[in-house]
Amino acid sequence: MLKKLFFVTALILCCFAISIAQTSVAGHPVLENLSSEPGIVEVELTASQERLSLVPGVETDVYAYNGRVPGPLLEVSEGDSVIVHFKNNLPEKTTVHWHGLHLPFVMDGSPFHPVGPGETFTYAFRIHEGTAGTYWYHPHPHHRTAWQVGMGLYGGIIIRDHNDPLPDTLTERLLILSDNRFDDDGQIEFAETGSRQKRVDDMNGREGDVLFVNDEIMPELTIRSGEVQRWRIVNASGARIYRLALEGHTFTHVGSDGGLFEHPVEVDEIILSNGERAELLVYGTGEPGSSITLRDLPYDRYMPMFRPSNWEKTNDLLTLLYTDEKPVQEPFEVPETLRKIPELTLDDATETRIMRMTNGKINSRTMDMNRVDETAELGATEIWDIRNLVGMDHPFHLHGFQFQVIDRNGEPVSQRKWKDTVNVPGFESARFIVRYDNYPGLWMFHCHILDHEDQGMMGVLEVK
Amino acid sequence: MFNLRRGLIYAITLIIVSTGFGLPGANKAAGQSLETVVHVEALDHAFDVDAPNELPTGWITIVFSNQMASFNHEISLVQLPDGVAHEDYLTDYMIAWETLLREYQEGVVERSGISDRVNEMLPAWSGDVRYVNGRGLVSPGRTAERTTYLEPGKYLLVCWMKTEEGIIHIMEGMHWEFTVTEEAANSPEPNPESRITLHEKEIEVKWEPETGKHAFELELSMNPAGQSYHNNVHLVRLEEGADLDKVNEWMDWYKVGGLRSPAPVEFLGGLGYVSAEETGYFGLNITEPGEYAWVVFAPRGPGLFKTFTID
Repeated sequence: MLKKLFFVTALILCCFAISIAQTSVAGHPVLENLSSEPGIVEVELTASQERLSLVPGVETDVYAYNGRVPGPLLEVSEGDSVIVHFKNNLPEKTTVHWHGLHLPFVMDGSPFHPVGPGETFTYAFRIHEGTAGTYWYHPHPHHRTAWQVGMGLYGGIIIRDHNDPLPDTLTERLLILSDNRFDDDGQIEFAETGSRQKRVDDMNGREGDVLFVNDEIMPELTIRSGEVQRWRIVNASGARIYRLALEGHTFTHVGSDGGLFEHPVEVDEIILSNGERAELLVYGTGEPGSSITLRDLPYDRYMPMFRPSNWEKTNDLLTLLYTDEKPVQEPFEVPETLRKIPELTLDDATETRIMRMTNGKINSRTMDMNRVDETAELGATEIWDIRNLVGMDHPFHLHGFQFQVIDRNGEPVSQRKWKDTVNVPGFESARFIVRYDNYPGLWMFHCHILDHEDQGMMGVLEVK
Repeated sequence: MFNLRRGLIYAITLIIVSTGFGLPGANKAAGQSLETVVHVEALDHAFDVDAPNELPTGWITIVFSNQMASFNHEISLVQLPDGVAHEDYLTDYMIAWETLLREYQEGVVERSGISDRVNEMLPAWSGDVRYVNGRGLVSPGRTAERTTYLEPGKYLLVCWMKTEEGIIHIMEGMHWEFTVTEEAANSPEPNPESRITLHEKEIEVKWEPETGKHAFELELSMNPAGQSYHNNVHLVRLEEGADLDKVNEWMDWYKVGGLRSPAPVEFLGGLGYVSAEETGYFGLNITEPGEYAWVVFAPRGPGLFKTFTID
């Protein structure tokens, strides 16, 4: 009997160990796949109130997915069918928006499909070929997105390509960037209605003075001298735009919202606006035993009258420690061509839609759930002309369909990329081209400064 | 400088309180070269300007269209002193005014204490800010014009109106900066046939009221001390029961509800400007028959009104 018990226990422990080994990807716990069927990813996701330690030594009331902030990683591959059994244990309605994914309207988790307190909803969608990349999920209830994301509801998604041009031997890291603000009791702080801070938050979007990379403040990551790592970065902040630089190092920028570029680009720094993602190759060019810092450099995204006094402050995000191991000798060369991105041609465009962004409004309108602002035909190719008429940045996000930026301020962009969010700095413009494939429905477009979105800087595109 | 600032406060007060509108001779605008006509679309709350940020010096026409917004808007044309950046106006200067407005509306500052309080906060150069011409209220669905001679320098278009919550539109983002270069615009001074003269107690209008586009020259009568009695005129469309005294009251920027949307009447355009030495040119479009009134806002008393009917 005892032997049998020992055997069962050992088996359980062994399975547990395997489970642990399998449930951490890119530094994140992964949503467990309940399905044994190939090509099916079936997971459970629950949003609930929790009390967690976000800041060391302090317990904070949060909203969390599966008890974690950020929520666990959804890892899928092109061609997979995804089933997410979602349970809302929050005291308010919510949704799960699969930011950047091409999926049916009813599965988009937009404000049109709220999930009430105590209710469940099963999100089911297919992962399209050619969409491998880094995405994220977050709530999208009308007027409450900034609050719920600020309380901790966000998580990463990695879509894998079975024929990824980058080798899987590269150490992969997923860095979900966020910031938050806490009161003296360690509770998440939101400005009081009518206060000066509320006015600032309404205008700038709510920024926090505590910066997180995943679930840590200033985490320490390691790299071996000579090693190349693949970093996937998500800006999950409600308002903060990051200008990222790694001291003494360059990045090879290989991908953005909709996956890999056609060609890698060497850069000293990148700007990542709200909702955007980046894929970077980080080269361990430092000496064994040394360390460097990933920094958020000053970036002026503000209207002059609301620019914070400390906007020029550089924020440290993480420390990258070089191990004492001897340098990796095998050189890695990134392919000159990562993939071919289909071109959406201007000749096919049947319409140009002009979006004039002001603070809190698009085309002088605030969001009305009972109004359709734009109507397009399924399968049509169109141009969107995004004009920012005010003196602060507005990152523009379109649901459901990845697009290709054509030009900025009339200047053509350097290469084709799939994007779902494009930042438009103050008094600047950007045009993109998009094709409404596969899915009719009511698709949101909005500023991804979450406070602006909540104020109604959002509209509805009906594709039919 | 203190006196200068007091002068500035007075001037701004006049502008704020007045509602001048300008629109150049529409017939003249047709003959002007493209770069001297600036098309401005109002949004809630920004200007969509179809022009480069550099304009030539000379007679420039601003066509102000309020076809996309839900609220009334205006353009105040501001020239900055040498050495003052556009951003200085939006920060140091505007924050002082926003603070003053908030304190006044919250009852922290009395009306009699406005000048002293804002003088405490305004930057030293504020006395040299020049309001070339002031607000010309334009209601949603309306388009108006003004033509102004612009000297080289740094300028802004701003909207001093207030939101329903009492926030100055400038602070919401309704500003556009530009520079007037030394390059000369070859545009003629407007020469409209219609003229409005503002006397002490009368609005004299030499004009045949009818629907269509109209261009006006605005002339100010002076008192013996060489100061103009009034500095602004506006055209409004009157619905039945409209109270023009309440219109005058609403046009007082300092009142808590002053120049806040919604407006008590529909504004078609006009012109307000500070300098009596300069001639104001403005134009507007009357699209339908009805009851109308010329309104001259007076900050310290009943305004001047002149009603008329277009059949």
